Amino acid sequence: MPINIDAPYKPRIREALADLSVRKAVDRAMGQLAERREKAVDAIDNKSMRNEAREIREQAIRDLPVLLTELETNLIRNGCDVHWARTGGEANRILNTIAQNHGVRTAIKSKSMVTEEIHLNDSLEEIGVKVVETDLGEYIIQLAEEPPSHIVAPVVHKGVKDISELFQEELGMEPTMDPAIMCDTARKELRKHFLVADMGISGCNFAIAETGTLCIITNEGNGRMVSSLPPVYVVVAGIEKVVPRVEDAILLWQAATRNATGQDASVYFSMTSGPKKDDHADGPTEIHVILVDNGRTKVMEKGYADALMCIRCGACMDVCPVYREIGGHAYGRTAYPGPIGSILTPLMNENIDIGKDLPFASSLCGACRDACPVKIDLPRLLLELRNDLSEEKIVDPLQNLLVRSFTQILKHPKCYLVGTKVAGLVSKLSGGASQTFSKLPSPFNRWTKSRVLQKPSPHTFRKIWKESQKNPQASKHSPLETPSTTGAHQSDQDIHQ
Amino acid sequence: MNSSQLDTKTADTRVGLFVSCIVDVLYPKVGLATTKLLAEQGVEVVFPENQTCCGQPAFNAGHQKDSFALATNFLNTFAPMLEQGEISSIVVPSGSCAAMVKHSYAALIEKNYTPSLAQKYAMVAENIYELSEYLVDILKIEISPPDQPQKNVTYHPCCHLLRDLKIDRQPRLLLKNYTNENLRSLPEDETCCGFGGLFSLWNEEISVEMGLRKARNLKECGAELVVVNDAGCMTHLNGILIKEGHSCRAIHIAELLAENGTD
Amino acid sequence: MTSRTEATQILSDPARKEILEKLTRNLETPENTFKVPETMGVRSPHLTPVTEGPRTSPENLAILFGRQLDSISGSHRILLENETVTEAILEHIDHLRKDSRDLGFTNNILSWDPRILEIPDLSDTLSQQNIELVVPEDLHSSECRDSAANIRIGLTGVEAAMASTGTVSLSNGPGMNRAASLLPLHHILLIAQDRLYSNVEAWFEALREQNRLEEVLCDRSQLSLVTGPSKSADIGLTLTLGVHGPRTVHAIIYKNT
Repeated sequence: MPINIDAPYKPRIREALADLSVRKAVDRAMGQLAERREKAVDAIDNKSMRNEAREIREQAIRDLPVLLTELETNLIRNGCDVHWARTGGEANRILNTIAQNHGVRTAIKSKSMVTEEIHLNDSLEEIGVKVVETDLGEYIIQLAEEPPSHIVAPVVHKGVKDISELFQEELGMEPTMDPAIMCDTARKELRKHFLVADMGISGCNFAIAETGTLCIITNEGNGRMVSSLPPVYVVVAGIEKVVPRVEDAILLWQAATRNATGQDASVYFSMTSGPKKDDHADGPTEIHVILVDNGRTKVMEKGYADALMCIRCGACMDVCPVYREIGGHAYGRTAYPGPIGSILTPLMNENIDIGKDLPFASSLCGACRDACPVKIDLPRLLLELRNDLSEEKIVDPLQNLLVRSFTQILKHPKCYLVGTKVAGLVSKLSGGASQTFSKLPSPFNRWTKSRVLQKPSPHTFRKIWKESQKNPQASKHSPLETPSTTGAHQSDQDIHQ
Repeated sequence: MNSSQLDTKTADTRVGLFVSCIVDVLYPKVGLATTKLLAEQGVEVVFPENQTCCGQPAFNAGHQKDSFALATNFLNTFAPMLEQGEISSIVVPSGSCAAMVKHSYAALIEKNYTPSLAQKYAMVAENIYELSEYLVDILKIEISPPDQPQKNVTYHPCCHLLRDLKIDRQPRLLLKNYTNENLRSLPEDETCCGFGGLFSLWNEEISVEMGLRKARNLKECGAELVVVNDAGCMTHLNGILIKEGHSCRAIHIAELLAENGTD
Repeated sequence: MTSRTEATQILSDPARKEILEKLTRNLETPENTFKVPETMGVRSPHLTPVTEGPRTSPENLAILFGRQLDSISGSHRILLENETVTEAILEHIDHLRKDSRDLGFTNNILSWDPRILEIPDLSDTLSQQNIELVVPEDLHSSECRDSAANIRIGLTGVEAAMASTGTVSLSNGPGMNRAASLLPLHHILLIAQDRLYSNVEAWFEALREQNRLEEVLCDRSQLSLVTGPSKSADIGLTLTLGVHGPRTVHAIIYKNT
């Protein structure tokens, strides 16, 4: 039973944490993906690959306007149509127009995060076009009417049993737990759609400016199907997907596959430059490329161009200890969960409520930064976002108040001393032999609900230090009596001997 | 600057101690243990009393202006001491505080740039050390196992120490010697314990789940003590371990080594 | 021949202008200077190949390629001096007939034009064994498509084969249809030894040196880099083969005379 991804942040998190079967599936999947990734990157000179991948993406973003026009020129020369869209709405309008012009009844789609972003399926369905997701994972969640939970493996939250039951119900499959049989069932079903679809739609992993070539990574072959069988092929590409040269795409392809699934190379890397020629037996007769902004220039405007380097490999969420506990749906109704999603969602989404809590949903451990093949400093970007959100007063006011008061006390040494005396007093007065609080008033009850909290020491370090300086002999070798940090019981002693 | 009596020893063996606000208030014993470890190696420890907090909680909560005020206080406290040769280094028994000063202060200063502050920062960043780093790389301390039988010990590398400062070899070396090469291996040791500063309050549900995972891993490896370099992580871990009724306890590396490691 | 209508142009042109203007403006702001510890700034002149490219004989490359393809659920056969490609094809088809999951078997092979495959007497020899090569003319015609859709075996050549990853590059063009390597359950690859390269980077380097990048990429519409059979791990993270593309990929590597 998937969680309500439109619920407010806290209820959503609690619901996600309470769903033990999804947590188990996600934990297992992330563990495996992280392990495979590590093996794949350890087998090569990952340091060089990361440095060069970073250089490529930096150049791509730095020269983006020039590269986009170069890409457009070459795509047109190759026989493609190029369209531009500022918003998802504009992109969908263009796509709908193309669909209507061709009398499209069925469209087959290869997995694409940007099309999730702009709700492309909904838009086509509104004009009566049947849209079939062909990526096995996406097909499964389409049948289940759920959103994806991970950008590379959209159905990690479902176990084999869930999928089997779904296929039995929706496709009339015989009961089985054999993934091979389930796969064959999907193959037969989807093959029917592949052969009659009027339009193929895909995203784009890399758009090579120098040749006007659109590259997509798949393992299943649906990318090739979608870009070869129907007469019309539409590529929806975020404007940040451009890379300067062919070799750049080849390097980033391997960086993406190693980091995403631990493969040396994806099974298919389809590089499409133009429609079929007259003497070709197959291939689309028309190719449309829709270059989409949908918040990417906004990301740049706010100073987060680094985040546009992302090559959508998913490594950050595979290694994230928070994602591992809460899963992708807990991040809400967004195409991008996990660490990169916690940056892109609040920046790109029109509705700030959808993403405003995400930058705070991190312990800043840095595992994502270490994993990212293009060296995005994700924790740094999260921290900047937290600062921006606080300054724009979008943060929880109680949280704001608490931090500010705490900081005021710490700022002034005299305030600090008073503060520590108060803390010591509270500790003494709370009585009992225990060194820890088991219950505290709000907001500290958030701590004591599930943890005990070390009590402030009756004497601060600086007080002990000061006293010891006055009586150097008395304190030199004997360990001063203070509460042990391991919680073992020790009596308090007055240090004035 | 109102510090302790200055000796006539050269500044080569004098360090400034920054204890961190959490050690000051909750775990003075860690500060004392740090002092003891350094003193035993012939280092004179100076404690400038103007120190308060390095500014990390404010920075991580997204209050960079407030954090900057605290950072300024830190730099104004320690930089003059370095400049005047009163101390040669700053030692901090906290990975996250050292990382805050060394790396995050750069971001703060960039936004509030003055040449004098930048200079202070450069001076401080170059001469600040986390405790285990200082003990191993600078003092080349020799740790021998204690005489009495030990508890089973394992090590949890705190995230800022491990990934921001890239300090891992040093604490492991210390513990390898302390345990006579019997340091227990902790499953998923590099996975964050879930403290994350104020994350532990604002996202307490997630924080606790991460801590419970760490507790399960500790139980699996059978350690009675888990050594950490960060008092924040220690508070969170012990908070969970005690509440859940586990017998394992988190202990700061300074305390562990000072208790009997060097005598 | 496009459907670029006024409708889409009216939408697209102002968007284009605005997007490019915004980008140009935003890239000038100081925040967007990509601060990363050890930021490079300047592009290295050469890219380090991701996988190693051993300089070795074609015979060794064939062995390495075969080994790599096997490791990713493919199979291969390196022909000896006296063996013919046609024999190897027939041998493999016999093997496929024993595949228990394959219910029913047609005697057709969806294929590239045999003149492009350059195997002497290929069509005739196969005909003698009642196996027909079907070279589709126009897969947009439903008749052609329906007959192609039922064929279980596909046969193609390659532009190149890259040893370190077990990848082949398949171009398309007159006589080189995409369907042959895409629709059937089983794919047979014919790889002449002189088309072997150590890694993908080496092949692209050669293409660039020969000034053939545009020809192979753009003029021919689509270039596919194919590495083994179609697969997925979406169902319980278990590997399944033949999701949409071929379930088996068999490479026959031969020395061309």
